Amino acid sequence: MSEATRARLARVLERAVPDLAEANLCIAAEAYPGLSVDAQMGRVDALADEARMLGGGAGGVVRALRQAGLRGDREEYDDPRNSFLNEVLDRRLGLPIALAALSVAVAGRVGVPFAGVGMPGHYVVADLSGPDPRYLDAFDGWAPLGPEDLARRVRETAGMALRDEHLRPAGARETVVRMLANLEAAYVRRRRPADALWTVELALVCEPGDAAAREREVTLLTALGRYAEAAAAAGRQLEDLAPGAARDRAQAQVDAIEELQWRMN
Amino acid sequence: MARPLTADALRVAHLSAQAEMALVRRDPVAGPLLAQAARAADGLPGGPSLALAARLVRLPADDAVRKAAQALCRIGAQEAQAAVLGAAR
Repeated sequence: MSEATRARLARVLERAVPDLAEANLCIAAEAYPGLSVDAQMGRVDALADEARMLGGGAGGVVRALRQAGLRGDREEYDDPRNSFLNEVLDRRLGLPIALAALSVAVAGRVGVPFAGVGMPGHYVVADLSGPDPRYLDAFDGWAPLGPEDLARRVRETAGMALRDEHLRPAGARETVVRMLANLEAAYVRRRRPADALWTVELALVCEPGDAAAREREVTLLTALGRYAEAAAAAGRQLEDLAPGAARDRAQAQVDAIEELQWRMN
Repeated sequence: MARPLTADALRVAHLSAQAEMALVRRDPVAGPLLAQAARAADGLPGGPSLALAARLVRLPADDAVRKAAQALCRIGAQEAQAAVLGAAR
């Protein structure tokens, strides 16, 4: 855990136009403690230079990303490495959201308005440089997506019908929280609660008032046997609650964890 | 915490005891039983302990986690029993 990169992540998200590459690399710094975020951002800058060399605009960005050999990882979709841009750039493989974040970051450096779109089950890129948004699937070689393709992807990945609101550009904070949720699930499935915990702690850096994330933090700390920290995390919920039933329940949870600590020692 | 009806608290005590036994036996019904106990205990004494236990058992199984969930079941059951006894006074 690095307080410096956590503080940096919080600062990145405060900016008017947060750099999704920098935010992602602040997350990666948790998994790779020696990682230089600045050096890795240099690799993103280099892709932007390449995009300019290839004609600039949305076309130049897509050509540079394709030419770099970047693609979706269909074999080991759930591999946590697919979420971290340093690994994506090394292995040329990634999740839809990581490849989309990289696309948005490269496009931003070139002055092309790309935005991430967090559809249910699948994350795509919107090219906003024309009169109407043009959607691209970074996971599928930046293939253009028409309305039927978008609807099919949502139906296949989330089992639901596409609605207009699914196509609204995602905010940086929302995107980072979604990246962290993917990682948390991947670590839980791999029985790595300590790693799942830092993803939740970062989610709380992004959304300090997220009660569900606070609940998951308490659960993971308890699972790790870190009862005193679990009780303290549960106690932090109390600060936000006015006297009443919800506060009583939160206090009862703190008491239960303290009782658990006593019984387990 | 809301004042429970004796019948509600008894049901929570019964379900949490069943869930605890299932956890001891490593029976796969432990998770569903615990989820049922946590739902029944929502807003009642024992509810927060059982809710945390139910969240713990949703994590991939691990001996230490299972034992913590067992202990939370016991705490939840005792809180529910205390509510029953308090109501009977």
